[in-house]
Amino acid sequence: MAEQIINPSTTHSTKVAGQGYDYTIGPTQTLPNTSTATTSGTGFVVPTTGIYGQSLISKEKQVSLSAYAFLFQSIVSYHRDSSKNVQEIERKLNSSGYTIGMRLTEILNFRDSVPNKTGLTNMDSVAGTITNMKRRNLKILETLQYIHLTVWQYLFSRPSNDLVKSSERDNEYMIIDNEPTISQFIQHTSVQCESFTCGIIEGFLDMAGFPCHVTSHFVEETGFSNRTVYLIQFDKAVVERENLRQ
Amino acid sequence: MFYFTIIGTSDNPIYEAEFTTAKNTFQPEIKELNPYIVHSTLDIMEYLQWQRQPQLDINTSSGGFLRSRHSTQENSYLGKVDSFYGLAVSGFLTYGNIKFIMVHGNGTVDDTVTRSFYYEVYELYLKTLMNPFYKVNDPISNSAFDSKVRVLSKRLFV
Repeated sequence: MAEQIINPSTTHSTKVAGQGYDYTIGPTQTLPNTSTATTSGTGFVVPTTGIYGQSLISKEKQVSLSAYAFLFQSIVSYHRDSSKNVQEIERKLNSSGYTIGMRLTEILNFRDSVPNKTGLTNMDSVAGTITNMKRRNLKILETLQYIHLTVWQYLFSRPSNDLVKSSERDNEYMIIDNEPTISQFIQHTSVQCESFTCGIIEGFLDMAGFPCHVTSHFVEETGFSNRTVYLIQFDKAVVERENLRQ
Repeated sequence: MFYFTIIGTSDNPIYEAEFTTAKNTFQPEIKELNPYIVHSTLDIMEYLQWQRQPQLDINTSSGGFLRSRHSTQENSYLGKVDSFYGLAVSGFLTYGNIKFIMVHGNGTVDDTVTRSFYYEVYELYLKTLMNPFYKVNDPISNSAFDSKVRVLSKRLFV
């Protein structure tokens, strides 16, 4: 693919519409002879199965905690075996969370835009029911509130315990969870297994346009030995942009 | 005729398509210009991206107060954002700041039709994104996606 010559867009006479997009060729036209061929099915068949035939509104799905803990344990030990030092394990855990977080930005907001979600779990297309998209979150606090409430609710079935702004630095915010779900069976170790959750937060904020760096810290409190603080450090540009719009 | 693109977060095209009929096709010289028109629109999109109420002068002059009242409610669908010698350009921003941009060859943006087209395409894009093997900003080469978008494009011609 990489070695192919990129042709100007007028030279795509060999390409038939409906065969997928190829960036080395450019946009394909809806040619007069193919635009009417949907019903006859000559080279322009619309498949009904696969990922495009499924609904984006999922039923209330729950995963068994023991199965999840077992899987997470395997992920951590896999990364431990393939890494040279602690930072590398944490980085790998972070990057696997990142890919989840960046998808959550789009999917959770989209689901919030759909009115009356009941009864839509079997429909392939729900976009027709949307009259107005939910507003995109433009402010730091709006976005963090969204993570604190909606994202946590989606991931762990409860909102996080606290959302705090650092009093020393204006680009630092903290999300606090008294009993983190994914690492509840893990004793205090040199490896921060909560790096996975950090990756989710980081991916979410990066995609939403708030580039940041997230780290997790154990801050014990009576009764909560696993109490975790997720420290979110936004890039300078984010804070500057925020100040401009006030 | 329409030229539709999905632009990724690093200003890279991840999907392009031309919707034409037998009668309405882009002139060869305009066809070559389309990517450049979209490229120049990116700046306007990025300007609107962080506006609390994305509004442009060209919108207020054509739509009156109903149009402006609407844009306080929604900031994903941006409506007509740019024009270029009789061609109109409309835009849509997803929650992950992926840009959908379309060049309207007929010079007008029908908000109702265009909005619902963008919503439907956004849903298809989301389904692509839910594939764990798809990475953000990769070109979407799936033929099912292509066919589905082309079927949706028919409503633009009504």
